[in-house]
Amino acid sequence: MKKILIVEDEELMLDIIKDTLGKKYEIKGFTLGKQALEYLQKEQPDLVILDIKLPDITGLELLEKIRKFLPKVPIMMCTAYDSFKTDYQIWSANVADYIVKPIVLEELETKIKKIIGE
Amino acid sequence: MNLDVITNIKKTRIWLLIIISVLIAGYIKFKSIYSIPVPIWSTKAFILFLEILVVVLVVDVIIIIAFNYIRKNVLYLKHKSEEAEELLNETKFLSEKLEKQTKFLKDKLNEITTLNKIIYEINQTFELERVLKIILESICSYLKYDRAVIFLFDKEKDCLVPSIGYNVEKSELEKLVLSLSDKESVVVKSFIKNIPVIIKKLSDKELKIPYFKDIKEDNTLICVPLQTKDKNVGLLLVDTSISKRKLTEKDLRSISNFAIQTSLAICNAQLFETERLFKEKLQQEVDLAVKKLQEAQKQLIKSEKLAALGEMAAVVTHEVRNPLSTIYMSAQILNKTITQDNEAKKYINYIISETERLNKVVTDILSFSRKPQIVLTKTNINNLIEELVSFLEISDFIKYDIKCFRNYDDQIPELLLDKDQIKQTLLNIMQNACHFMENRPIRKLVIETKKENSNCVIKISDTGIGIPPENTKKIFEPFFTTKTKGTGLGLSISKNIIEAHGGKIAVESVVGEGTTFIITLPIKIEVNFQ
Repeated sequence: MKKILIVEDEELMLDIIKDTLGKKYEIKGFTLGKQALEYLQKEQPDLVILDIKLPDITGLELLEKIRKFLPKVPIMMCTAYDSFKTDYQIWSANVADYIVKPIVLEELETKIKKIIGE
Repeated sequence: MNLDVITNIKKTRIWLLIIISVLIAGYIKFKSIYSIPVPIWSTKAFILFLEILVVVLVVDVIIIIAFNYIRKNVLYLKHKSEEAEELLNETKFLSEKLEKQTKFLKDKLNEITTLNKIIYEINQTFELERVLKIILESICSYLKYDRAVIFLFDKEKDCLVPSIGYNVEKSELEKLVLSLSDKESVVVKSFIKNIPVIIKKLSDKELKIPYFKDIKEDNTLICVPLQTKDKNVGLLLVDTSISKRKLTEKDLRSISNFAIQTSLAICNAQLFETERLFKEKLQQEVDLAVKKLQEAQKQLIKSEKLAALGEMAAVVTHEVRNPLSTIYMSAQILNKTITQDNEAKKYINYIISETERLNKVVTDILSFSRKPQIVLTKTNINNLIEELVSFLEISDFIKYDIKCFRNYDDQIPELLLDKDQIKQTLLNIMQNACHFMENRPIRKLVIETKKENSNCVIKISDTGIGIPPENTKKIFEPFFTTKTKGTGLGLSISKNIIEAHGGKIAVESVVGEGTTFIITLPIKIEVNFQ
């Protein structure tokens, strides 16, 4: 089973995603960037999903930090801002895809499938 | 001295005659009383002789005294008469002198009165043209001239330009430009030397000037330079070509006096004119600046409001979208898990659709509050519209039972557009059109694209209720809506997006017939990031 790391400060959302995708993927969720970094020191997931806004660090800063030691792991950004589409132009080299909130579960599944498969 | 001696001798003679007479008379009277011895030769005849002598002497004395008296009086009278004559002469002389002085003063008074009248008339206005007109009219009427022309000195062109004429045809006047390089001309000489002159004989050269042609008589033209202390103002020409009145030094003097006042009046009027123009220009500039400032202020307030709104919207969006996302996802899961016949299905659908609506409101506010950031890609506009039509065919067109007609121009090249934003704009307009055709007898949507010069024009026409004229301008204003459900931001955002592409959006509408939106996009796009 492929491993997905989700860093999202909304616990409820994390919970829903875990419930939805838990059958197909091994989901690990954190609400803080710090926790995610610690985890990534030990484990290497198949996909990382990062919220743009986290309590302790921005998603983009976290992205850069992860890229330093995991240059190849696919990362998907998740945002509540529409403007990310513009920013994506800049970050696209480092990012596999992005999804805008409110999340349509089918869309999320399709995108994940596209990146790492079943 | 001699006169005194003569007078004394005369007096002595009279006294001697008186004494002799008294002595003789005494002798005759008193000879018998005092028995004065009488000589032998003293006869009666002798006594008679003495008596006659006494009478003669007395008569002589009387005559002499009388004569003297008469002579004295005659001399006195003669003297008095001479004095009177002398006085008369003197009076006559003084009276003549007085008359001369009076005439001189009268002339002066006339001159001053005329001058005052003219000055008064001139000072009634500061308008240059009017001042010049009054000057000429006053000169001709008070100083009795038939024609007059004022030339103004044009420093740049170094010539005297005829400005206004009295009794001179305008066409004739225009030909009268006098170049200062024409040093031979008496008129130019007079101006340069600043000496007023009566032109006695006109040279051939002068005769060539049309204005002078009809002056046949000598001494009927005066040329007066108009100058102030430090400025050459111009030149005044006056003539008596009709009355043929010969002009004299007196005429020259009075018009010269007048010239100083005229120059000052012209100077003042010119100054006033300059000041007026300057003031007008200044006022215009001030008005413009105020207008710009007001606009800038408005813009500033607007942009400040927008910035504040933008910040707020960003926060709200994030904070609203997260819980919204949770609700939405939960509803999606529920929707999947429960069966169609479940009663709860209806309510789950409500949650999903209302969450979507809420999200749209948040998205609209966010889009409106920030400058459109456009990502350009080469786009075939006809294909883009066709995609939208395909989407509407399975949604709004079915909902409102609408027939759609397309008329695409294949000549339109690929445009550089932000595909998503243009899509959003066109979809917004099309969906609006569908909405306002609800329950209308004819429900027809016509979409037309056309290449017009360097632009691509997209026309979207409906047969909806139409927009009242008073609302056509307002529809692009934010928060203006006639829909029950709507933020009123849709068209405002559309306008921002089109303008960010360097394009224009306009609307034409007839109430009860329908509305057409006309979007013009430049083919060679110059992105407007403002």
